[in-house]
Amino acid sequence: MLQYIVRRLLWTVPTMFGIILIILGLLHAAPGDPATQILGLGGGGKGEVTQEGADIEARIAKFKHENALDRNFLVQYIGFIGPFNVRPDGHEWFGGDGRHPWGGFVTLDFGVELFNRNQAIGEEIRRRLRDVTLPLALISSFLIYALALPIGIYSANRVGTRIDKVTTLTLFLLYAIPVFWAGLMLQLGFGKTLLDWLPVIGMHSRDADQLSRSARLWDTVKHVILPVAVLTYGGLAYLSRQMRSGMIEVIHQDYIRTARAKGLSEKAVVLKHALRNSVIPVITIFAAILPIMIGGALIVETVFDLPGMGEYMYKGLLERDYNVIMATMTLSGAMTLVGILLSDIAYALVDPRISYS
Amino acid sequence: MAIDNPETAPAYSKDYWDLVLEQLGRNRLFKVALAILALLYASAIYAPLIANDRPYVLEAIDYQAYGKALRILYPATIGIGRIARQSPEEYLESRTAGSVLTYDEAIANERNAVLVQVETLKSYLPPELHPPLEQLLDEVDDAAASALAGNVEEARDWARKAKTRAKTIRGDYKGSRDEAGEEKGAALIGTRSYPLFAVIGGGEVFFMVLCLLALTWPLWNRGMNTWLLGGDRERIRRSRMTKWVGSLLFSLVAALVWAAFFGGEAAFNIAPYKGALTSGEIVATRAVFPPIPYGFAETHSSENYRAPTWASSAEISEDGYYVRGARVPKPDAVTGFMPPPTPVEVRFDEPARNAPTRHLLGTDSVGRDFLTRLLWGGRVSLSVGLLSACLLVVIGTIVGAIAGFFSGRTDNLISRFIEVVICVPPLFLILMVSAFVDPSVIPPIFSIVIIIALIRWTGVARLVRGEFLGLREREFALAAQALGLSSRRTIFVHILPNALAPVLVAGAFAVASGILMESTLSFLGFGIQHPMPSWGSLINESRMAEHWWIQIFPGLLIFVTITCYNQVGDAFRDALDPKMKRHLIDG
Repeated sequence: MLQYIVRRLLWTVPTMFGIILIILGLLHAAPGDPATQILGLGGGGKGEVTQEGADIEARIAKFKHENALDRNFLVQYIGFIGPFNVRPDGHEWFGGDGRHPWGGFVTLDFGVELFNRNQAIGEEIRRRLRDVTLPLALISSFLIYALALPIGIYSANRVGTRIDKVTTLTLFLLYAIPVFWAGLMLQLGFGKTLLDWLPVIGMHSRDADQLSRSARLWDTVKHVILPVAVLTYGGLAYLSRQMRSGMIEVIHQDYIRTARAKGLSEKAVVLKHALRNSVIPVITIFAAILPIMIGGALIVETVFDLPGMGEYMYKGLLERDYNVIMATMTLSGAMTLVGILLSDIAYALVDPRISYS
Repeated sequence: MAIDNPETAPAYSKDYWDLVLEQLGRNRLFKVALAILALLYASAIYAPLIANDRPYVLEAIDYQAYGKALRILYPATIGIGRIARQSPEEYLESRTAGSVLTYDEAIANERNAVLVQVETLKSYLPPELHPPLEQLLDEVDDAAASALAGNVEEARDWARKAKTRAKTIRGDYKGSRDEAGEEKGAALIGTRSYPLFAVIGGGEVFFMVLCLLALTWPLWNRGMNTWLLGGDRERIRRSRMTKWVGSLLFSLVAALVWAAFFGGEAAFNIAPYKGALTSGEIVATRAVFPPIPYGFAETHSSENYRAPTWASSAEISEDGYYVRGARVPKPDAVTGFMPPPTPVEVRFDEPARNAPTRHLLGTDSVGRDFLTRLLWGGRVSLSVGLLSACLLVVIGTIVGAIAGFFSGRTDNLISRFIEVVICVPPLFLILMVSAFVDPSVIPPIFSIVIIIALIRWTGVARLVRGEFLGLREREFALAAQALGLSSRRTIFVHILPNALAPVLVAGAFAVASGILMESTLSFLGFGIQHPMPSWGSLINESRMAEHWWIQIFPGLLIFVTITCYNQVGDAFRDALDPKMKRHLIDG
């Protein structure tokens, strides 16, 4: 068992290398040069060209040099993973002047934004994760599990009844609603146009600073309700369906019949015997929910205009900021990897029937 | 299944697909989902015939075209005279700088110029007025023939005669018009044309025929089974593949025939017909327009963001002011200035200004009819979903088959690679790639299809790998290998057909997720670009809450499509997997 976990842990290292390789490779393969994009030559930047004249070549070269974009693929790859900084102010091994020798993913230092050189990306991501993305993700994961398990169990114990049919149908429909559309519809329904119950944009009201502590909390809660609802419903529908079918499968097994035959109460049968076995796969499904959450965060944050990591990624894409894109992509990849890892380990720990040799 | 009636009981054994089809046929929800999908696909495929600003049939006099031909006729005859009075050598010396035409070519050109005008005029003139035109053409021909024969004098004579005749014709043959009539002269007749069919290309015909065959499948299938195959179960079973391939071939032949003989004329996005019909440049005796007489790029600048016309807030007064709702104009508080009205322009054959059917689903930012755009947008969204699913199933099947069949080191390598791909959040990856792909190099539709397929094949690959790991040890697979068949043949001919059932299920879900992916991408602004509509990009037209119709309707269509595909996938899974007995579970 321990051996399995250690091996599984060790495997994450090459996998992480692979993830970074794919992301960097795709960025390189995609047409379009960040230097020209950023200097405003990509589209409609003609005025600038004539103004700067021949100087533009030199500016591009300088820009590329500063950001190590003129280095070859391998050096850039090393520079991104770390622990060496390969920019001109980086480690001496890579031709830098040694002022900031360390950097890269390993040190959680992602460099600075290409646009705004005063903004360290690592710091910005930490702030966005702490203030927006992680709280939202945690709340909605909690809600997903807190709601999905009872719904699934309840539904599974009433297979064929009207209430089961209605629940199943509702979950089935919920599962098919596009996330961005759900967000828009909630904004439409609860916003000023129709009900005018909840604010639909941002994390706080504009005057949040002047509010008292409790009022500010209440203000945040009101702002967060809709985004959390949008983040939750997809995973909820998915998980409830899994829980229901898992439960049904277990209920039809022999040992449950035995438990019933020996005269246990229905409650004891369901909660003590059936639940334990049917909940195992559902716990490990967390790995499947994680990408939904991360992808959903981008959409939810864009639709509701929340300053989270997904929105940062979106902004990076719009501005074609390579550093931001690389950092956010890699981090979300790492988060998914950790999620899968945790569920694999959880599975191994929880289910004694499976041997790992 | 219990045989309830010995008379109708089948006298044959059922094979796997018989059982699957029977299972599917018993699933009512599956049938409903399939019907809705068929409706959606049919409306997307036939969108050009349902919503278009070109008429099916137009019997009309195009006064503008007629007048132009009449004006050009005389200069055109002068043109041939100018060349015909020169010898070839003189022509070569005097031809305009940059011209590369030889003497013969120049003469043929000028003759054709006259011919085109004559044919245009003839098409609008009654037969009794044709002779002068034909004589003119004869004279021009004679002039050309003499010039080519080197007989310059004669050619000049003929050319001069033609010129005089052309002048007479120009005087006599002005097109007549009604009471207001500016022009008077020869009475014109309308010519019949089929503008809409003229722009339908071979590719579109292929899918139209295929769709028709699919929709009428129960009919011709039953007929074919009873009459052609004599109700013989064995033969029916064996001819399954023939029917599939036959339908495809039939559609292909129809498309080729169409492309060769009829349509395919390059189409402008905005057809001039409705404008010209409204202004009276074309006078129609008969014009049959599609049920929704709007083009997908046809703008009505006076009606931007008009709410669905059955909603009361869409009512507009005769001056062009909104009567009810948020857009009722108010004079400026300080200056008392009223914004100037923009009267609604009702073009030929369109519903009246305030008719509830005028814009059933409202209009967008430049007054394009939203229903029309939704219909055309379905073509993009539905085809992206289907194409990407096909591609990813192919990729996933091949990779999974290789991994599962060879196992060992190959399998290990591929599995690790799949693990890596899975860890990158797909939406981010797709966004990143499509943000950097230049739409002028690869059209957005194809780049999206390719990107989605390249990123989401892992699920199918894992499925197929699992199936192969089990199947490769079975007797038939071992036998194939023992017979010395190549690995490729063993994989694709012997094992793969047995592993396809779960792939079919995954494929149905993949279409749903492809459609979802595309619409999300387009919504975020990285997918299909203007002016081509797709359901996702249509939602992006406006995020303002007051333009509710723009946000509700496309999303509703996406939702319905995804639900239907999920239902189809569920039904496939239930029908293909006899062990699960899911009908028990799903109630």
